[in-house]
Amino acid sequence: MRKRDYLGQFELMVLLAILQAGEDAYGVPIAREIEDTTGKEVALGSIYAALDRLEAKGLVASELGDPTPERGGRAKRYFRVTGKGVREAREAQRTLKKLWSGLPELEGRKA
Amino acid sequence: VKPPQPASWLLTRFVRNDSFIGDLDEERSNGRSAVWYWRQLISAVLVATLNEIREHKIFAIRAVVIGYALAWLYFTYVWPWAFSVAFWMINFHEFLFTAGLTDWFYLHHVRLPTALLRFIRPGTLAMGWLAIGWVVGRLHGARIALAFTVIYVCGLLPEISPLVLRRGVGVIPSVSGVLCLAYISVLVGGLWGSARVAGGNA
Repeated sequence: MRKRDYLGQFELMVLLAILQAGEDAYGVPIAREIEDTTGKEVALGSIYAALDRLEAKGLVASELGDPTPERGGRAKRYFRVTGKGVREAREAQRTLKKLWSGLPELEGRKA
Repeated sequence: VKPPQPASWLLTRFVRNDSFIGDLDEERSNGRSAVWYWRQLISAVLVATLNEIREHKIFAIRAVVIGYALAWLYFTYVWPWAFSVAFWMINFHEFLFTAGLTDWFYLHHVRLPTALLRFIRPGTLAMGWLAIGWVVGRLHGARIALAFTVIYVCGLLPEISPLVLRRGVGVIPSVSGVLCLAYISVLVGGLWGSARVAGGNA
């Protein structure tokens, strides 16, 4: 069987957060999206580490925007999910759904 | 809001990601607290260090091997000599007197304060640790130097714990002092050494 590089939970969250943020997907909105969903603070450093890994796997692509004064003259790095990334996210969803199904403890029924 | 100088220094040395630094500045100017800023910065430094180790395992192992080899060389061969030299330098009036060179300093009470004797051991230890950190930082960059510092100081614990068991909890303050001195010296040496590497990292 071919060895498959599965998406980690955090990587999947980052991937979905990019899709949710749409055109404006750079570090801050991605982190905010995850924070709003999970209710927990996330480290921006972890987001960038996950983004670097996703980019290395070809699941996201990035490009630099224009520098702005409130960012100390530094440019935003905008991310978008590639076709391969969308396929991976769908695959992860399918896998999780399959694993999820038939587990009464997790579907609110009594085991 | 301009980030504090030490923060900028740490970010350029360890994180080296302009977009990330820009995001931090943007959030700070949007009203995030200084505590939030520093928490993000420290976690970014740790994440960057762990990533560096994960991506360059052999490089990281090489740093540990070189660091420990240098520590062995220093504490086996150089430290006893450095300790004696420092001792004689502080007691130079006695040294000159007993060697029969001159008794002028001895007779005229020209001497260094004896309080300096207390600093011989920590001083010569710190010099060695500083040098070890410097070499590791120079060859491997700031992130690996930070990782090596943590590994090295943790490695001192098995050496020190029997002392605590033998002499009781009374030695804990001096043991913690030695550990702090080791941590600071190796880290400062590492950061100093890595500052000479282009871009702060190999």
